[in-house]
Amino acid sequence: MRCPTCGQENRSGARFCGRCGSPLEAPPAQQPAAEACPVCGSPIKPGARFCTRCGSTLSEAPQAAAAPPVQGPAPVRSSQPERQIPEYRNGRPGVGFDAVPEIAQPSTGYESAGTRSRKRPLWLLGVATALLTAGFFCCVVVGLAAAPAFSGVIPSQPEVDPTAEDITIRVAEAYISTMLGGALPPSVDGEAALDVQPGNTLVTTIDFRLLIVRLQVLVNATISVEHGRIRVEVDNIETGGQNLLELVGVEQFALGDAITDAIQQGLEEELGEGARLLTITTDDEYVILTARWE
Amino acid sequence: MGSRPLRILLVLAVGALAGLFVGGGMGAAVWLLLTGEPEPMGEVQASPGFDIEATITENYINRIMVASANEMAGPVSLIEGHMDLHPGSRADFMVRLQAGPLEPIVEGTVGFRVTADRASIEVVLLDAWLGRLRLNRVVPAGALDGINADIKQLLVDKVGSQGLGVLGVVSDEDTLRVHLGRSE
Repeated sequence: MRCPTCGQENRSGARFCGRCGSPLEAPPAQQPAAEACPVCGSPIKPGARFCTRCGSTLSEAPQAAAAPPVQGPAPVRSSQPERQIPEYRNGRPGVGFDAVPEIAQPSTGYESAGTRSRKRPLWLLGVATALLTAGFFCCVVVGLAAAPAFSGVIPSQPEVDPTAEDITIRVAEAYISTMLGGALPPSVDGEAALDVQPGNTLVTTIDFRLLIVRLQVLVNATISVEHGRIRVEVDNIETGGQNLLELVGVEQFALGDAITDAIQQGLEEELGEGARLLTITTDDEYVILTARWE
Repeated sequence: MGSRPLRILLVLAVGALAGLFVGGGMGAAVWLLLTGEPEPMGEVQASPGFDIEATITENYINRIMVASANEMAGPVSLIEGHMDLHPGSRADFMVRLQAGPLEPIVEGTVGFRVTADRASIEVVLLDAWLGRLRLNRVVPAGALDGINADIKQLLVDKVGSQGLGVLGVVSDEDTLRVHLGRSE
């Protein structure tokens, strides 16, 4: 920097002219003034006790002030005002240090941690209280809603006849007819159809062809219950007044038994296992069985 | 700021108030979650041309319910109960369950319908109540699988109507009628 009074070129950052002592343009106060010999103004190294140019004895103060900041945890800052180190002029104004740079205060967190440790329980206490209250309130609501389920009584059921039927099965005559196809003897090439009539009467019509003659056989049977089982008894077999069945080698009653056995077996299958047959009746279309499962 | 006990009381009060609101919200949410329309049963299937009609009495249904209760295993068992048939392929039920020391009564309605493959009928849960709590959405989907397996066995094995399909199922106040027919 050039001195505005004598024109002397000074080092940058000097506040006073090293030649005439006139004040120079003040540098930004963000950094402490550089070390300089108070006598000749020559720069000095930090910690130097004598000026390397003029040999003047330097004070201890600049050394202490120029010492690097202390690192590590800083003591708790006092509430007193910040202590300023007085400007060292050594007989000449403006030369030396304006102030000791403020030492950085690393945060230890001791104080804030202590503050948090006092606040955290209160915060948690509020949340815990809210959760407990919410849970309790929910339990109360659910408990009140479910309470009738624990105080009710299932009404007693009326006594039921232990011999009454459990199931009633109505079997259509058309369905029974499908069971009869396999019941015909192999020598009889024909079709069988069942006609259910009231009064437990079953009339089976068998149409078959013998050479060029078409024959029809009616098997009249009665269906009933005997010892818990279905019984189909052939009443008579009509063949148009003539016993033509013997011509094809079929006994009348053998054919009747085959038909009744097929009906009995088919209906018992519909009852299933473990069923005890109670009654059997017929109407115009259905065979009606009542049973009780053991 | 006030003293510490005062602050604690304030926090407790605020927490309790917040909990009340949250609990109320949760209760309302549970309430909304559990309520809903019963599962529609659809129209009652008419089955005019059946080959076999099996008419099962309400008494027998209640008897097999008690029998199945004795066979139940698991944390929840059935102590007693009965079923009351109604028209429209429905039945109201009331059962007393045992779950540990608790013996709540669960009421509800079940429906009977034909399975998609027409091989059997199945029982579907339409409504279930524990007191005033509706349980439809918390009952496991397979809760009635055992009953349905029994019904299928009853139709296929016990009745023995093999080769027949289920055409429909209807009910009145006392009986459940299952119509079976040959599949075309």
